[in-house]
Amino acid sequence: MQHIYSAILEKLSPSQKEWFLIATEEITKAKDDTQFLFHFSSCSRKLKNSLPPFSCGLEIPFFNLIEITRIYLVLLYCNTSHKPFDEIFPKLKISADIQETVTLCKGLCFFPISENLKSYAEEGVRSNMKEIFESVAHNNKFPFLNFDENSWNQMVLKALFIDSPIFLIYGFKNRKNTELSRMVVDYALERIAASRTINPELWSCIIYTDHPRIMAYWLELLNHGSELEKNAICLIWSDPLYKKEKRIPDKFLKQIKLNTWEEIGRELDKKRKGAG
Amino acid sequence: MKFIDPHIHMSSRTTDDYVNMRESGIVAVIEPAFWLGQPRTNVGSFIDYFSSLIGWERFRASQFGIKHYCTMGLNSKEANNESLAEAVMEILPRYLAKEGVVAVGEIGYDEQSKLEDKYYRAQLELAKKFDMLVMVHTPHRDKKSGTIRSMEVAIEHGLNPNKVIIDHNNEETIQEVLDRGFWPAFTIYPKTKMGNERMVEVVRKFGSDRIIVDSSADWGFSDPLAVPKTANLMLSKGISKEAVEKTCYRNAILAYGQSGQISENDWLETNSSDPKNLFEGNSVLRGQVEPQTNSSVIV
Repeated sequence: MQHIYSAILEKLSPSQKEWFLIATEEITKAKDDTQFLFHFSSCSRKLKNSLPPFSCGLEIPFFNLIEITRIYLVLLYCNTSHKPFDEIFPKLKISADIQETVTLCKGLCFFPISENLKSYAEEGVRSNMKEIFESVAHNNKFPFLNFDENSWNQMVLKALFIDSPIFLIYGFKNRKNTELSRMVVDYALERIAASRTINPELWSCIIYTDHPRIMAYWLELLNHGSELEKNAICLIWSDPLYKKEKRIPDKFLKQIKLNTWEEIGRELDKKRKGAG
Repeated sequence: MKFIDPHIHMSSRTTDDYVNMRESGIVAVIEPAFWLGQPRTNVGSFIDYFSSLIGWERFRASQFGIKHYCTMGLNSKEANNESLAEAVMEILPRYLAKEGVVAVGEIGYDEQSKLEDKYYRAQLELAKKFDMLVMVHTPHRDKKSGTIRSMEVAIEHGLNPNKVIIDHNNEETIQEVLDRGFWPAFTIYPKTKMGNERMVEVVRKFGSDRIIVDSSADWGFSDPLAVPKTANLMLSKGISKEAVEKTCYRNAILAYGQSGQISENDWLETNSSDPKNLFEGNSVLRGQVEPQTNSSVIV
């Protein structure tokens, strides 16, 4: 906690620091939750125009000043009020606005793990607000460490549904599984049947498939797809799991320019943002 | 021409309304917390409603290229349920501190009962404590004396009139509101009360300084396009473009901008409908409509 405190102080302007020190003192001395909840929400008013995301020595450096300050205030109040986190957290979550919800989701790994917290993360994944979904799904260790296989798979599948990058899902490679692979193949078949395009990152979720309609589709993409589509098909189809007659025709292998799914994901994301 | 509707209850409106509003040039709305028609029976309903104003409804508006702000408060009708009102007052402070909450409101009088007075005053004190603006709902019955009373009580509690918007005015109340230094807002109703023809005459007579036009559109007969339609009528009746811009756009920014929570840059510098927030298959747009941008000008 001390290193977060120091990192926050370093980034604050003199007037912001004045507010922060008063807020932390009031929270430390608070007799009930009111002051804490008020200061938690006030962060966006007091720390406006804050800096872009910074690391503050954490493994995943994707917090902006308002977010990390809010997380610090939660940890501080838990410490000083001696109330169990499970008592404080419901009050925070029921009245959280979008940015506060994003913060709580991004900060999941800072809080003591409980069933409530797991449900909260799963609820975040169910959100129709993409920002909230991505605050759980992307660059966040919590799902990797705590989601069961079904929740994990639903998260990945939803990322595909809403065109959210797969490569930003923490630990994705390590939690690929056959059930996810089956679900994604079914999803790809639905898209093919509806003559809809398929996000090239989708293929990174499949461990192995030799479904004839999928393989025919791959062949079609290798001949007529975009560069990224061709590259993605080469990447999956050149996997050593595909033997002999099931293997990608050699003539297509030269189409591999990007050698990892992460590179493909990044390229797609660039295009996605460029389109926005 | 760009417009702001600084009083509209979007939770009661359809997605078609959002589309039409955006196409008519509305770039931002302020949604005051209000009575939902069906009386609430417990504080949990308020919590979910307040949270939707700063959560889902804001997101929904963004999908149609409209910036959404809100006010938070205990409305006058439900102030008459004392045990419920007490519980709402307890949770209100945490919502007042949220981003994009531009005022305490809409608060004030309905029947001018003792309990309405008690909670109006308590919320004025909250506004003072947190240095916030106030949006006042003036009563539909006994309008003139209720409006004057609302202002006198605000002054009694030490509120600066420049930080209080008095809504639902008519020809009989405006002079009192202007004379005392408050901001007079006018709600344009399609069937009753203040119609847009009358609004044109108000602006002709009283000028455009400090006057704010809104729709208060909700679940009843009301028109979410009241602001652009009134602007259009004003222009066709010879009111200057500058006066139209002030009453239908600029004055709302001047009044509510004092909160530090709403600024013209919010919609000028960014596309409020960020396509990255659109969900194929899951969004309210459901992939059927192209993302809206802040570029269209109708009137």
